Amino acid sequence: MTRIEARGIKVTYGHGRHTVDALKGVDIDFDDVRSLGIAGESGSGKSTLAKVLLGMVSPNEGHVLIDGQPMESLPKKGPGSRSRQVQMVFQDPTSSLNPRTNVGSTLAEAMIVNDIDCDRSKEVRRLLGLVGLEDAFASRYPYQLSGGQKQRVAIARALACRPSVLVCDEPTSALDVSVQGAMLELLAKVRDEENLALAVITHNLDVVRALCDDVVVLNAGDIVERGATDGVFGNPQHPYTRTLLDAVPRLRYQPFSAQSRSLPDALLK
Amino acid sequence: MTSTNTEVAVRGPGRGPRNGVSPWVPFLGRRLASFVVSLWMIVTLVFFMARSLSGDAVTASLGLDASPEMIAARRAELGLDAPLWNQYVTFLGQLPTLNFGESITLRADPLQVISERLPNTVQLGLTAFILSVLLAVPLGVFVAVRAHSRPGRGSSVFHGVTGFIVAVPDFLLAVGLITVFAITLKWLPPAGGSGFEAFILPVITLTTGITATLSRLVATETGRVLNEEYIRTAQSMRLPPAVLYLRHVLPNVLTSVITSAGLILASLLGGTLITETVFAWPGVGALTIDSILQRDYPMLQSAVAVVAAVSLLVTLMVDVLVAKLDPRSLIVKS
Amino acid sequence: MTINLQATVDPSRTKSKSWGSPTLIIAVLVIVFFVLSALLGPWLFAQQAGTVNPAIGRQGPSAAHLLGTDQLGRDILARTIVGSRASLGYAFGATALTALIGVGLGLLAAALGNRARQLMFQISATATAFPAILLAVILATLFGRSGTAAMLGLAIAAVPTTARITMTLAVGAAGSDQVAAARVVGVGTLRILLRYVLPQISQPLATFTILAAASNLVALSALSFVGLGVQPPEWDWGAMLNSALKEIYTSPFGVVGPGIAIVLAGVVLNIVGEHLARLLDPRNRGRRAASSTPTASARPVTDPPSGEALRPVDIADPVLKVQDLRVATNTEPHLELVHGVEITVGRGQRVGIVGESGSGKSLTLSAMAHLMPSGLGSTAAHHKFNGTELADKDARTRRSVLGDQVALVFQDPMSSLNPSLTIGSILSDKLKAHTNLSRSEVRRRVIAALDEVSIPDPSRTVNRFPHQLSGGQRQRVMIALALLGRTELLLADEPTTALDVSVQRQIANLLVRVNEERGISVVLVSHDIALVSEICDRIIVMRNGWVVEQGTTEEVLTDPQHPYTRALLAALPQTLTAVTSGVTVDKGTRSLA
Repeated sequence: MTRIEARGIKVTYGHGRHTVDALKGVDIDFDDVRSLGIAGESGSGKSTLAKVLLGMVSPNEGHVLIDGQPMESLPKKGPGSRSRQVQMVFQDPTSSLNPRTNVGSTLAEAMIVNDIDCDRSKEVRRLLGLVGLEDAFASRYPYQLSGGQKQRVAIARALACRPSVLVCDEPTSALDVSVQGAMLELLAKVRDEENLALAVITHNLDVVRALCDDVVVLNAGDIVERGATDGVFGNPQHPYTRTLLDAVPRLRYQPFSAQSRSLPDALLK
Repeated sequence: MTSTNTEVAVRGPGRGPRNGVSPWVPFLGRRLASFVVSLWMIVTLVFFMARSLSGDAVTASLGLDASPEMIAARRAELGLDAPLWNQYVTFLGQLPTLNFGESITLRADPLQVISERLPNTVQLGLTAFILSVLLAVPLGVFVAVRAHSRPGRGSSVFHGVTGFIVAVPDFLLAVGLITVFAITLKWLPPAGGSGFEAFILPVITLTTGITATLSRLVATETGRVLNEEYIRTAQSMRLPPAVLYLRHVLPNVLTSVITSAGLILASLLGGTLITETVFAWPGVGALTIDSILQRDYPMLQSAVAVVAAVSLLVTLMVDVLVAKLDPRSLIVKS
Repeated sequence: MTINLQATVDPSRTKSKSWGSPTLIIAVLVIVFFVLSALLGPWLFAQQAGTVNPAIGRQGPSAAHLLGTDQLGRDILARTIVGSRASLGYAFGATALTALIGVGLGLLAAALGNRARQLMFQISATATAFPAILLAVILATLFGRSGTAAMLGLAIAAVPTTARITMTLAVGAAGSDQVAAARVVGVGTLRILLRYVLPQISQPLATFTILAAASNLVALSALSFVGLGVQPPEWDWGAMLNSALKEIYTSPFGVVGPGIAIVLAGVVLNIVGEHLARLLDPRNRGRRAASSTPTASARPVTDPPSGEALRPVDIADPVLKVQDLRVATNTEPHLELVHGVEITVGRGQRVGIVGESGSGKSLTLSAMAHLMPSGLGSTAAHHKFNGTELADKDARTRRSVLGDQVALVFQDPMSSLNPSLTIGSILSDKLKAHTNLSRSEVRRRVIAALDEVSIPDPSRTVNRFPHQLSGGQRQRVMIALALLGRTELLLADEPTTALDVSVQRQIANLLVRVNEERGISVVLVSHDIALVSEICDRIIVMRNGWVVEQGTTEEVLTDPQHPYTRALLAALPQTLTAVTSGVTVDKGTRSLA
C-alpha cells in the first residue's frame, strides 16, 4: 500500500498586490486510509489540494511524499513515477477526454506512456469490464457516449496506469441523479477490487458519507476538522462543519423502502 | 472564428481606486508606453527600409546621366555617406523637432506637404467611417433581431450580399462606380476633380466596404447578446421593445463592436491609399504611393511616420474609450 | 477595406449545415476550375492571350472574343484565364508563406513562456494598428518591384497577426482540460503537442488561412493595380484592371473579365472558409451528433404515465393552470419535447418540478411563463393565469396580463444580470415599464426590495454593477426583481444549483420567506429532490417530456407509484448510504448507464 503524505502545504496564487492564499498549511496522510473525503465549498482550496497531490501544482511551501520520496524526485516514467502512483478522475468527463481518439486508443495511450507491458487489447477489455462497459465501447468516440459512460471511460483510463491512489474531483456533480448512485457504487467496487486508496473531493456531503471512511473539512485554505466520517458528521465540532451539515438539503420524509434496488433497463438512459 | 476582441487584452481600470491611486494611472501609463514603443518600431523599420531605396532615389532625381561625382556630392549633401548607425542616430535626433529632411522629388519640407494633404484624407476617411457606422449599426441590429425571432431567409440574404461586397476590392468598386456613374450615366465627374461632386464617388467606395464589414460584425455580436441569459431576464420583465433593445441589448453590442470599429478607423488612414490613387484624390495615401514609386525616401519616412502616429493614436483612444465604457475590469491575458 | 478575417464569421448560424449543401459544392467546383486555369491556362491559352491585333482592339464582346478585346486587340477572356496563374499563384504563395512562418513563430512563442508572449503581443499590436496594406507596400518595394516582391511583402505583413492568433490558440489548447488530464496520465510534451494541441488548433487555423487567401488575392490585385505588384511583361488580374482603367472611356467593358475573376475567387474562398468554420465549430459537432443519435423524447416511451401516479389536483381559483401544454421546435425537424403536460398551481402554494436533464422541466417552466427560447414554441389547450385565458391572446395582451405578475429566477446568477447596467437600473426598468410612479418612488421601492432580500447596504448597491456582487447576492437581486410589481407567481429554474451549499440554504430560505410573507406562489424546478422536498408542498416528477407522477411531497416520497420515481429515489446518494448501512440490496440485473 503506497503511502502518500502531504506536509505543510501552502499554495498562493497571483503576484504583486493581488494574491490569494488557496491553501494555508495543510497536512494529509494516506497511510491506512482507504477512502478519504475532502469536503469543502468553492474557494475552500479543495481543487488546489487535488492538483498538489497530483503534482500539477507545486506548493509554495511544504512537500508531497510518496513512500517517503519527494514527488519532484520521482522518475518521469516507469513503475516508480508519479503517474503510476497517483491518478485523477476529473469533474467534467466531456472536456477531459480527447474527442479525436476513440475509447480504446485513449486507454491504450495511458498504457503506452506509462510503459505498461501487456496485451493491450486484452487489457482494454478488462478495464472496460471493470467499469461496466461492453467491449464494443472500445471503438466509440466520446461524442457518442453519455455523461455517465464518459465518466466510466475516464475512470478506466486512470486505472490503466495501475495507480495506488485515485483522486476523484467531484465524481458525480456533472451526472444526472439517476446515474449518481451507480457511479458511487462503481467507485466503491473499484476501490475494493483494485486495492486502491480513494480521495474524493466534493462539496456533496452525501457522497462523502456514501464512499469515504474518513473526511477532512476544508474552509478557505485550512482544514477545520478531520476524522472518521461517521464521527465528524454525527458530532461536528467546528462551527463551519456544522453550518455545512445544516445547509445540506434532507429529504423531508424518509423515502419508501429502499430494498428493491434493481433498476430495470428501460428506466435508465 | 470568434470576434477580434478576444485578442484585445487590456487591463482596464475598473471602478474605484486601489491603494489611493486612480487605476487610470497605471492603465494609461502602460498604453502610452506601448504607443511609444510601437511608434519607435515602425519608424525604425521604415528608416532601415527607406535607406535601401535611397541609392536609387539619388540616381532617380539626378537622372541617369549624372556623373559619379555629382551622385557622391548629392549623397554627401543628404548625409547618406555616413555609417548607417550614425545616420540612424541623427535621424532619431531629428525626430523630436519634426525635421524629416527634404523631399527629394518635391524639394520641399515633407511635413508641410503632408500637412497640406492630410486634411483631404481625414475628410474622406472620417466621412466614410461615420456614414458607415450610421448605416451599419441599425442594419446589423435589425438583421440580428429578426433572425433571432424569425429564423429564416432574411439573414441569409444579408450574409450573402455583405459577403459578396466584402469580397470586392476597393479599387474594383471604384472602377465600377466610375464606369457606371461617370462614364455611362455622366452624372458625376470622373477621377481628378475637386469640390463636392468629386467627393461623392470616393466616399461611396469606402463607405460600401466598411458598412458591409461593420454590419456583419454588429449582426454577429447582436446575435450573441440576444442569446445571453440577461436578455431573458429583461424579456421576463416584459419591457417594451424599445427599452429592451436600446437599453439592454445595444450597450453590450457596442462595447464589443467599438474595438473592431476602432481598428477599422485606425487602418482607414492607410486604407484610403487605393481609393485616393484611383480617384486622384490629393490625400496622404496617394502621396505615399507616389513617394514609393519615385523613391523619395524622406517623404516616405515622413508620410509613414505620420500615418503610424495617427493610427496608433486612434487605437489608443479606442482602448481608453472601451475601458471607460465597459464597467467590468478586463483582465490581461498573458 | 478587407478586414473580413475574423469577426464576421458567425458559427451559430444554422443555415446550410451539411457538407452536401449546394452552395458549398458550387463554391468548391469554382475553386477547382480556378486551380485548373492557373495550372493549365498558360499552357493552353498563352498564344491567344498574346496575339496582338490592333485592328480589332477595344471591341466589345463577340462570338470570337467572349469578353471582348483590349487596346492591343488581345482576347480578354484568354488573358484572364492565363492571368489566373499569377493572381492565384502569388496569393496562395503569400498565404502559404505566412502560414508557415506565422504558425511556426506562434507555436514558438507559446512554448517559450510569458516574456516571449508579451513580446509577441506588442509586435502584433503594432502591426495591427498600422495599415496592413501600407506595410505590405513598403515591404514589397524593399524587395524590388515584382510579383514575387509583392507576395513576400504581403506574406511578411500578415505574419504578426497569424503568429499571435496561433499563439493564443496554442496557449488556449495547452491550458485545456484535455491536456491537463493527459499530463496527469503521464503523456509527454511531444505527444501532447502532436495529438492534443495541433489537432485542436489546426481547424480554426485552416479556416483563418482560407479566409486569408481571399484577402491576399484582393490585396495583391490592389498592389498590381497601383503598379507595385506584377510587372510587364507578366500580368495578373490587377494589372489588367490597371490598363482597363486607362481605356475606360473608350472601352469600359475591359474591366469585366478580371473584375469578375477577382470577385468570384474571393467569394468562393470566403464561402468555403465560412462553411469550414461552421462545420468544425465544436458546438455544431455536438449538435450534429445529437441529431444523429435519437434524442430522449424521440425514443418511444414505453411507460405512458399511469393514472395512480398522476393524482389529479382540484384547486379552486388557481393562480396558474395549464392543460395539454406542449413544447416543440419551430424549425425542421419538428420535434416535440414536452408532451401534453397539465399543471395547476394554487395561491400561496409551493410546487416543485423534479426531473433529470432532458426531462423537459425547464422548457415547461418557460412555457408557463410564455418565454420560450428562440427556436422553440409552445401550445396549450388552456393556459389560464388568474382566471384569464391566455392561449388565444396575442403577444401584447399577454405582456400586459403577465406583465409584472409573473417573475422568473434563472439558474446562473453570473449571466442573468445585464453587465452594462447598474442593479438600480435593472430593477427600476421593471417598475417603469408597468407603473407610473415617480422617480423617487421607484428608487424607494427598489431599495426596499433589496433590503427585503437582505442585501447589505441597499442604497449603495443600486449603483453597483452585477460583476461587483457575489453569486448569492445576484440571486437575491433576481428575487428582489420578483418582489417589485404585483407579482403573484415566481417561477424558479434551478435557482440554487450554481451556488455554494451554504448560500443555497440561504436562497432556499428566502424563497420560502417570500412565499409565506407575501403570498407569492412559487414553482421550483430542480434536479435536487431533497431540496424540493424541503421547500415544496407538492411535487411533480417529469421524465422525457412527460409528467409521470404528481402529488403532495409526502405522497410522492413515501408512496411513489411510478417506477421511475421509485428508481430516482433509490438512486440518491442518501438512500445509498441507508442501503450500504445494512439494508439488503438486490445486485441482480443491473444495466449501467
